[in-house]
Order: sequence, then C-alpha cells, then structure tokens
Amino acid sequence: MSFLAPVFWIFLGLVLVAVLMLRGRPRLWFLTLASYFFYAWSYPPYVLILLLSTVMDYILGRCMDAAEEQSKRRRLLVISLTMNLGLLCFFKYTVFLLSNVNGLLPWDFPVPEVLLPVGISFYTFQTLSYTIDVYRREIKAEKNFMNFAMFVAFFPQLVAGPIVRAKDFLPQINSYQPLLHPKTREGIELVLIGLFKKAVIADNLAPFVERIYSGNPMEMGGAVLWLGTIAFALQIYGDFSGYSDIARGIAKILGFEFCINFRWPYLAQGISDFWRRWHISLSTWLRDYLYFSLGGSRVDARWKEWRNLFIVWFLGGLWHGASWTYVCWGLWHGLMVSLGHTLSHTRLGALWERWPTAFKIAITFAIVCLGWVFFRAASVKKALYIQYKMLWPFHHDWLAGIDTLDHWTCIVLFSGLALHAIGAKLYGAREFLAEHWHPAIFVGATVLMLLCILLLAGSSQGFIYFQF
Amino acid sequence: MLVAGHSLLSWTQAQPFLDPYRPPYVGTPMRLHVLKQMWHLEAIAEKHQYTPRVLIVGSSSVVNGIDENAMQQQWEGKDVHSLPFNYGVTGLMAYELLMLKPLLLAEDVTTIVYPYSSFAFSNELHPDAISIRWNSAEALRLGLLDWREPRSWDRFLIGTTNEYLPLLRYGPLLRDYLVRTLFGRIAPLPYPWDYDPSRTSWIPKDDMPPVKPVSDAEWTRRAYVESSLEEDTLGYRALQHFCEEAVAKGKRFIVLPAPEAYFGIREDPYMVGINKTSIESRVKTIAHECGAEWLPRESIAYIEQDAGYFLDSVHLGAKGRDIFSRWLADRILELPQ
Repeated sequence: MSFLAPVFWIFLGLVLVAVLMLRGRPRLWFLTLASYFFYAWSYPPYVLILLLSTVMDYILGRCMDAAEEQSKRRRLLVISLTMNLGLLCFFKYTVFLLSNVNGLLPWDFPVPEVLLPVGISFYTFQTLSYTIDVYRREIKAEKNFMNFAMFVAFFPQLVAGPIVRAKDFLPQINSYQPLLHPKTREGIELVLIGLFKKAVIADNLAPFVERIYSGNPMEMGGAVLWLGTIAFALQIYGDFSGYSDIARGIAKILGFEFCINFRWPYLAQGISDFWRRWHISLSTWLRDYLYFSLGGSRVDARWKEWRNLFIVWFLGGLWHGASWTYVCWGLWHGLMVSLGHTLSHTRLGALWERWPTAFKIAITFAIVCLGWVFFRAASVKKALYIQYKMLWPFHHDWLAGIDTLDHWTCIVLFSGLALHAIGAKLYGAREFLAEHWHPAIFVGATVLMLLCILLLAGSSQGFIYFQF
Repeated sequence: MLVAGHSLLSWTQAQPFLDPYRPPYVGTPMRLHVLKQMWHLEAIAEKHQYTPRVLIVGSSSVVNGIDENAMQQQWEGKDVHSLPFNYGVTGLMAYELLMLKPLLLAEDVTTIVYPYSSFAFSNELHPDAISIRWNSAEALRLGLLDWREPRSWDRFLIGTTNEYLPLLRYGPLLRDYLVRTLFGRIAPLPYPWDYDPSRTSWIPKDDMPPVKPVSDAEWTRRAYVESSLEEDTLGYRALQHFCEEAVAKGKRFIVLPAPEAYFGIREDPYMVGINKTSIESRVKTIAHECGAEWLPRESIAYIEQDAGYFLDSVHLGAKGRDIFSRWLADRILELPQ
C-alpha cells in the first residue's frame, strides 16, 4: 500500500478513529494487526515471512537473554543471523547469484522466479539490530510478543524505513499517546512536507530522468547528462526523504518518535559528512553492526581500515539491490570515504578545510552525483560511459540533447535545488513561526500546501526504495 | 477549494476559452495528451450544450480520421440541423463508451457514430486513461471493482476522486497552460488532429513477409488478440449496454469499423494475424440485437485498400480523412432517422 494511494488515506483515517476509541493493550493489538493488514495489501502470502522473522527473533532474543554462557549466546546469535540473512539472500539474491554463476561457468542452473517481499531489507536489518543488541547486552529481550511484533511490523516504517532500533522504539510502547497537540501538528507538517517532496519534486522529475537514462548516452552531451543526474539526485532525495518524512509524521501523530533519516544531505562538505546526513538509519546501522564489528578504524594497519570500509560499502551497495550497478555505487562511496579519511591527514586535507563552504558543497555534490550514475544506470558499462561524457567537457556534442529539458522540469529542478539550499534555514524558522503564529494561519498554510501538492503533483510513480 | 475552483472555471466558461490553446500532440506526454482530449470533449459539450449534435466517437483513428468541416460541407443545403463533432480520443476502448456516457448521451446529442478499432473490445482497461476517462457508477455496473484485488481498489478510488474533483484531474493540464503562457509558447492549435496534414503517407512493403507480432505482455497486443478471439468480453458487453441505453434515450447509434489500412495485418506488429471478420460478426450481432445501425467493413474497402490515404496502419492522412468524412456524412443522412 503506497502512501500516495487513496486507499492508504482511508486506511489511515480508520486507524486514527480506532486508535482514538481504544485504550491500553487493545489499542496496541489493533495497531499491530493494522500493520499486518497494511503489509498484506500488496501480497498476502508474504505476511508469513514477516511473521516467521518476528517469531524467530522473539524466541531467539528470549533464549539469548536467559542464557548465561557466552558461547550459547553466540550460537543463538549465529542462528538469528543465518536465518534472517538467509531469508534476505534467498528472496533478494538468488536470481542475481544464479545468473552470474550461469554467466561465468559452463553450467545452466535454472533461475527461479522469486518475488521480492516488500521491505524485507528494512525489517530484516531491524530485527537483526534487536538480536545483536540483546547479544551485546545493550538491551533486555522484549518479553511481550505483541510489543515485539509491533516493533517489527509498525506500518509507517515497515516497507521503506527508517530502520528503527529496538532500544529507541520499545520503551515508547508503554507510554505513547496518539493525537496529542503539538505532536499531531508537527506530524501533519512532516506528512505534508513529505508529500510535497515526493509528489511535486520527485514525481515531476521522474519522466525527465527516465528519458535521459533510458535513452542512448551516445546521442547526449555531457551537459544534459549532468542535468539528468542532478535531477535524479533530487528525485531520489525527494522520494526517499519524502517517504521518511511521511513515516515520521504518521508515527508522531500516533504518538511515536522516529529518528531523523535525512539532514540536508546535499549541503554536505565531504563524503563522510554526506553519510552523516543521508539515510542516517542505514549508515549508522552499518557503522554500529558491521564496521565496528570488523574493528572499524581501530586496527593496526591502514590497509585493514580500507578493507573494513570496502566490506561495509560493498555490502551497503548490495543491500540496495541485486545488481552490479548498486555494488559499484557502494564501492564508489567506499573509495571516496576511504580517500577522504586518508587525505584528511595530509596537506590536501588542511587545504580542503580552508576552502569556501560553497565550493566544498559543490564538489561533494558532484562526487555524489557521479555515484548516482551507477545507481540509476541500467548497467555498469552504460554508467561508465555516462560518467566519461560527464567528466570530459571537450566533447564536440557537450550540449547535445539539451532541448529534451522542458520548461516545467526546469522550474521543478531549480526550485528543488533552491528549496534544499535554504531548507535548513526554513526549518529553523518553522519552529519560531509555530510558536508565534495564530492557529488559523497554520490551518491556512496547511490548506495551501495541500493544494500545491494536489495541483502540482507529477504522474504518480512508485517509491524508489520500495524495491529494496 | 477544489470544488470552488472548478465552479469558477465553469462559470467563467474558461474551459471552452482555453480549449483552442491546448497542447499539440508532438512533444506532449501521453497522460497530458489524454487529459487535453478529455478537456476538449467537455469544452465542446459546454460550448454547444443547446446545439443538436452528431458525435463521432472512437480512438485516434477517429481523432485523425474525421474532418468536421468536410462533414458540414456535405450537409450544406440538405436540411440538417445538427452539427458534427469529432469526439475521438486516443486508445478509446469500447467500455469507455459507458465511461463517457454523460457526454455522449447528453440531451442535445441526436446521433452517436462509433467507428470502432479492432483492439477496442478486449477486457483490458486503458492504462493511461483509467483516472481520466472514468465513471464510478458505470465502473461498478461493469464489475470493474474486484474487492479481492488491491489494485482494483486503488484504481477505483483514484478514478472516483478525479471524477468528482475535476480540478484535481486537470491539474497537470492547467499547469501546462501556465508554463506555456509564462514562456510565451501559448498559441492556438494549427490543426485539430495529431499529425501535421502535410505528412506523407505510408509506403507499404507489400513484397515483404509479415512482421513478427509484439509480445502479449504489451497491453495493446493483448487487446487486439482478445477482441478477435473472445466473444464475451468487457468491450462487447459494454457496447451492448451502451447501445441499449442510447436507443432507449431516442438517440441514433451507428456502428462501423474505423478504416484500417490493408497492410496493417502484415506490417503492424500489434495487429499482425488478427481476425477482423470475427470482430465484425460479433459487432453486427450486437448492433442488430440492440437496434443500432451497422455499416460493414466492405463499404469502406475502397479506402482501406489505398495506402495513399494512410499515415500508418490505423491513422488516415489528410486525403483519406477528407474522403472518409464526406462518405460518413452521406451515410448518416441516408440511414433511417
């Protein structure tokens, strides 16, 4: 069930009415069942996978908590990792692995058709974070099954994040209060902002991006490839951060707080800074559960630090999709982060610190955009060719294809960039305004925002991160 | 505010005013193209609401195949009080006759002429038009809401929302008007058809073997195949219902095949191998059962056999359009009133 589908808003309305009428444990059971209904809407049989993952990690968590011996706890953790990652690998990577094996070796394994359960990458990482935290004794295992089921399946973040940590979410279950002012007002604001980003920015840029990336790059110049890539950068930001905002907003209305998942990522001044602003719940997950487990930067050799970074980014890229383009995207960021770490201790690093902020932001944005080429292109070969054309400005056809950029896309592209540039300041002003504005002005602004979303929305596209 | 906005548009007659400035076919995304066509149909209905009208409805074959002026010229001096209007819309499927019922069976409509396309009678719903050419009541009657199928609910809700909030439906089109005005590109359409009248006609490859058909994964291909192979489809049932309602309301309903070039069966990958005779036979049966007038394909054979009249397998060029329009105008007069 997409957040943009009318049926979702009917579903949400019914949930809010029920939540108002119910109290205590019945309200929690209702929210959990509603979350399962939400998940079942796209393909009912895959609810069983979600339930299996939930039951499995609930039992393993309780057993780990009860076990005194470290070896037994480790065995239970290994079982959890194996089963969760096994499910994820089966549904997500079987076709990819077999296709590659068939391509490399003179065998022809039959490649089955496997339908990817929506959101499996997200809820798998979520339950893994729970079992790892229980293993590390950072939290106690949740005794109440319904509480745990609610943590795993809570519908606002179930299919596309943010990846919520048990230690942040579970304590809220006993004290959440839905539909309280001012959280409801903040929630509505977040939902509207999210819808604006998705429907007005992302969906309006999608057709142009599709024209560029499905076309023949040989017929396009570097300029239009840059514009198409920048449009994709905005599209994926609008799409993904829009979804996160809607998820956070709905959670707030229902009385729950989710972590911020995006923090003006294209204002980053360096790739490491970018990853402290982009998909924060994933980057911190990879840092806490993979990078630190490998030793992080506290290793005795620089090459080991690079190795750890490359493993993290290889798997981070692969998490996004079963395709070499995603792996290359991950490795691109791994390379940039590693270079950044290494160069930060040199004269170049000191020089970088002295450069103007706008320059650092522009360079970082350009590097991120070059990475997005891998993410969006149909193949690695095509991605490399596009990057070559983008980086070599002396091609005779640098401006070829520029007329494919229509006026409306131009308006949305530059408005989106401008809004992102001033967004942080607007957000700061919002809190001041919220305290000093008359409620009628808030209602009027909400209506105006809603009209903008309804009238300016592009043709509805699916959420990009639903495929992960 | 959306309802108020739409009321303002209606009250100020903005739709007929803006209609001549709708975006051209070339360079317009399909969704916007379908929207502008719907806008055009409603603009005609609003502007001529007290004028007796003859509506020629069909797919893009009709969009490009009917010249209203040529028809009017044929009727000059012949005591005809109705005006002909080209009500063609891209990809019109037979079930959409019911979706457009409020326009097609309006009070002052005297005659509805339906030159049908060979793909029109399948069970497929037009993917670009569901949320634009939609009528909730008719969709329910046609059984388009499958409560077990989540996509069916989404489709229904989007269609219903757009039906009752026209300003929401036309948002992208209004935005297009605004952007073109801001950038000084607003201008009346030079011609009401999709293609430039000076475009050259198709040169058929009569000595080549038939092309391979596209995959059945393509909805247009499936539509052709279902229309020709199946007898009881959504399209045929809808045609029957529409015909019965039109006749019951005292309208004349004339059904005939839209001209499709002879080479389409061999050169059009969507149409390859289709049995048009079975489609015609089914439509003839329905027409006789419901009281519609029916014209056979052989009556337009002289047009279909001449490749010079066509731009491609389904779209007439300027010359073919003129001939077909005048021929149709004469047939409308000859058939019983």
